[in-house]
Amino acid sequence: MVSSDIIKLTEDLEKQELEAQNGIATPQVYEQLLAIYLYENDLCNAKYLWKRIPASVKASTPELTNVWTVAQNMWKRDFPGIYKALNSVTWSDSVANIMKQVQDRVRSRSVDLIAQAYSSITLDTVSAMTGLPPDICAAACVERGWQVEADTRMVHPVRPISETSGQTSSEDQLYKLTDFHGRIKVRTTEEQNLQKHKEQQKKLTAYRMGMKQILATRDADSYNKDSLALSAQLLTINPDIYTLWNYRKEVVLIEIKKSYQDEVADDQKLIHFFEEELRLTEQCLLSNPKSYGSWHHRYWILNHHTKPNWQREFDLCNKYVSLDDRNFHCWDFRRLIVNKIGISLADEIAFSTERININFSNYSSWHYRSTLQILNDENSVANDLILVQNAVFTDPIDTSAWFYLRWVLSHPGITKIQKEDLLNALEQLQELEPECKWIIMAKCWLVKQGNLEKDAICRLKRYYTELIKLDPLREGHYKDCFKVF
Amino acid sequence: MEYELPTEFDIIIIGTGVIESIISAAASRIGKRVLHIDSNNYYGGLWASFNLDAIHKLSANTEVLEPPTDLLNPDETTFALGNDFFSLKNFKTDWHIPKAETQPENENVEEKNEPESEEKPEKPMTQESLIKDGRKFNIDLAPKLQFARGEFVELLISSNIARYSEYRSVSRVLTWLNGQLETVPCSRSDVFANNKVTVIEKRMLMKLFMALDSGDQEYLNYDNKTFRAFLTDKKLTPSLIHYVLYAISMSTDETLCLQGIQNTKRFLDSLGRFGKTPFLFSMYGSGEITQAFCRLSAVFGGIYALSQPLSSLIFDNENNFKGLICGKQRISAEFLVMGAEKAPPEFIKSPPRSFIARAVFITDRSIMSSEKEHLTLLLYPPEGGKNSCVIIELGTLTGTCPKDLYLVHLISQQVASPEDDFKHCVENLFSKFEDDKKPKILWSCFFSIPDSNALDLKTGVPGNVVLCPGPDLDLDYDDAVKKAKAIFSDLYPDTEFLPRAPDPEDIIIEGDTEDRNDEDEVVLKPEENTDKVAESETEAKSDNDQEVPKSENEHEE
Repeated sequence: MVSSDIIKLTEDLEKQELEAQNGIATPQVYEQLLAIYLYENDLCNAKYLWKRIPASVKASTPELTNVWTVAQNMWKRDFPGIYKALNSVTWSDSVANIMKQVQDRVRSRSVDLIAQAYSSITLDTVSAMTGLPPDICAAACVERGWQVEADTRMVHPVRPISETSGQTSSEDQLYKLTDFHGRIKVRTTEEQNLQKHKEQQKKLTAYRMGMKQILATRDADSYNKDSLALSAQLLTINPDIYTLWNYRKEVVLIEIKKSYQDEVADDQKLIHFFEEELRLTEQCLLSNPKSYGSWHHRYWILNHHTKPNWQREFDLCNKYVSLDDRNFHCWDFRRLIVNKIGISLADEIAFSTERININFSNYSSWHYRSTLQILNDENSVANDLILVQNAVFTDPIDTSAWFYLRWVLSHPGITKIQKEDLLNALEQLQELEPECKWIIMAKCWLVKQGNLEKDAICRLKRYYTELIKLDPLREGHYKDCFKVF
Repeated sequence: MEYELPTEFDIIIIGTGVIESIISAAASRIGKRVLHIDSNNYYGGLWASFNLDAIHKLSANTEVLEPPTDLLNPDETTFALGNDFFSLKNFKTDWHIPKAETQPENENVEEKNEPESEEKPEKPMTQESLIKDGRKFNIDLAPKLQFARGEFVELLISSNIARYSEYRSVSRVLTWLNGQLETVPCSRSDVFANNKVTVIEKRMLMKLFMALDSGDQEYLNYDNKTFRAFLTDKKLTPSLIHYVLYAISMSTDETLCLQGIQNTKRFLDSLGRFGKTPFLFSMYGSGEITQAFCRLSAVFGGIYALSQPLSSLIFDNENNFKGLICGKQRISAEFLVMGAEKAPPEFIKSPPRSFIARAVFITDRSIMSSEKEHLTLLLYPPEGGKNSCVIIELGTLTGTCPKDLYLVHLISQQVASPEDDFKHCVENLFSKFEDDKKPKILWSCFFSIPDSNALDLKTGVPGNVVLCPGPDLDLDYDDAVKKAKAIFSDLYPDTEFLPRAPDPEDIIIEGDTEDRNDEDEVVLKPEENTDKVAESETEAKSDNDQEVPKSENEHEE
């Protein structure tokens, strides 16, 4: 087969796959395409194809699995495994020719590899890497001009001269490149764009066909396994398709119902089903950590799970927060989980303090702290006042801590002395930062909580006048605030 | 082993110090034929790292080889290579733990004197137990840190050399204040979380940082005044002045305002890029740095030869460098670049006057214990007539020392001798005995490195020969990069200094185009395939396909 024929055949087969009815091509197309990818040593595409092939086709065409076994061995570069997988079955006519060529290519590549890499090697290794019996192998080596020592069974390959064989290391390539300066060709952006566009088109077609197939088989009492698998693929690519999450929830409910009806009550099967759903959401969150659908689905599944592992969820969530502490989904999720496993309040406060110490300009962590209901005694109020003062003194322009301060002040347990101390501190801060409106705002919050006597009203009036001067854009708002008094 | 080196090069580089290695990489990168050669059997020269065994065997003497004369033309002269000006001085190693006990019955008397030792059931550390782990040490002669946004790091990134080395960020910066160790608040979160600093101080410090960051020009009024005066006028409290002056800006009381401001800015600029502090340390020791550059040089065709019998340099009657004699070979080149320590003594007009005092300790615990292992930079202020010291403490996570031990480097400008210069630090930070808090020194090493940076390395040196200075007192490599850059652009004006090396996967090899269709994937296989493996492993996670042999749990830990 000439290489151009192969390309034509590949394109032809890829087209057939794309245009197949319901998105499912004939087993023959899959088989040939898979084999051709192996011939081209394009294992990545082979892998993607294998994943695209519906389970039903795989089941009805055992030969596909045989081709895939070859691919798996190639992936692992397990040469004896490759030859074994190639020769232990009789290939049908549709792929026999290609598979034979696959073997030739693999063999020739390993011969090149040996020639490049070894100055001496045992005959047994050569035999394993080429899949030839030792005697034939020895003869073939001699034929190539390699020296074979009969007594020690060592082969001395001859390194090919200047032959551009496939297996060179990247550094060899770079070395070679230094021979022709200025001739390094780097992939251009245009090329990259074109490739990107092509991939997008492929995705779009896959999406349209997938949705059509899934929606056609959607049913209240039963579901189609292929459609379910398909929906997983589509969600992995785009986890924001709510329809598909709902579809999967329906399927889960069907499974649960089925499990109840089953007299045998095979719990393991159902658990396995739940775990697969969890795994899918994990995969989706990797591609989009802020996908509402995935987070919701995960929690929904855990709530329906017969044996939910909340501790694992908790650990996972911890890891997630440490990777991105601004993902509010994680914080929400943590709240839900903490309620399920009952973490001690002290632990959660420690966690919250740690997160705030790492970055105090984070609404999520302050808000989380406020949901812990930690202001249960005088001591904790004092601690939080210190924490929030540290924040506003370090960076008075950062708003997150000011909002937390307002929340702390709203707590009834706060004492008069604490308020006075805070007011003094704020006065000090204002001396340092006369331009910062938040300090005056905080003073207003404090004064409003006290006895609203004439003196207090006067002070408020002064504060609001200052605010209007500092922040004329919100003049109306400040006037409104003061009007009440 | 008998071998022959090629005999014609564009440039020969003798010595594998940092500056030499950077120049080697840069020359090789623009296609020059480079021979990089060293008489040592290790990389790095005075910038090298050694394991515990090797550092004991470090000998300071340089042997002079008698060159064969039959390789010379009649009008040529030779200079013998190697001088003694720049070798390590005051080299001294000591054990502070006993050898393994061999005659236990004679020890009865001593045992009575040591009631504490009975409390510890575990085996005490012995010299043998440390030597056994000796290969796990990477002891730097010239330990360095890098500013996360410094010139060196930018060079690593822009030239794509970063992939030849690994880094760890320094996790805390300490200083010695009022007789104890204190954490220096560097970043915004540090200032926030530090409980030794009052809220008002927090604001003052942040205000100073912000003012410097926004390009406030107030310091211009402090033309001839010190940085300390500037900070005092800013109404900073004494402890804040200490943090900013001695730690953040690494200044002294005499440092001028402008310099102090520049240092502080440099520190602040490098924050928030990698890790909690502005500094990075190269894993497995600073000696790795020179090797990363050497590797790039070799990838682009530079030829490397260590432990070479270099005897002399050849010059014509107009005092131009012609070549060198290595063993029985004569090797010619247009240019010669070499480390000052390798130069013929005739080239060194003045011997070094200043020295870098160095000490290295192996200790049994950190100077400031905490739950997790830290990589610590301690900036020890000047005290009682002694210069300020830079102290770097490395744990096992840096790949420079075995588990449960620490490697401590002390660096200072020498006044008397290393032992004398570090005496006060050692007394304050370490203990000779089994103290319950301070670390005990198990092994110590003192030496001085001659500082060749302030010397005139040009006068009397032939035009096509360049001498490179050795390690400097700076904390980082930025000055070394600048010097290498300057030397390179003198040698090869109008050429680019270390342009980005292409990633292997972006390269299409010319001439492969005809058979590209079926060979392309294979040609680029080594790199491409690994990339795709990683990609498709993540892809594969959602399915229950069993084809990927990797376990999925890895992602869930």
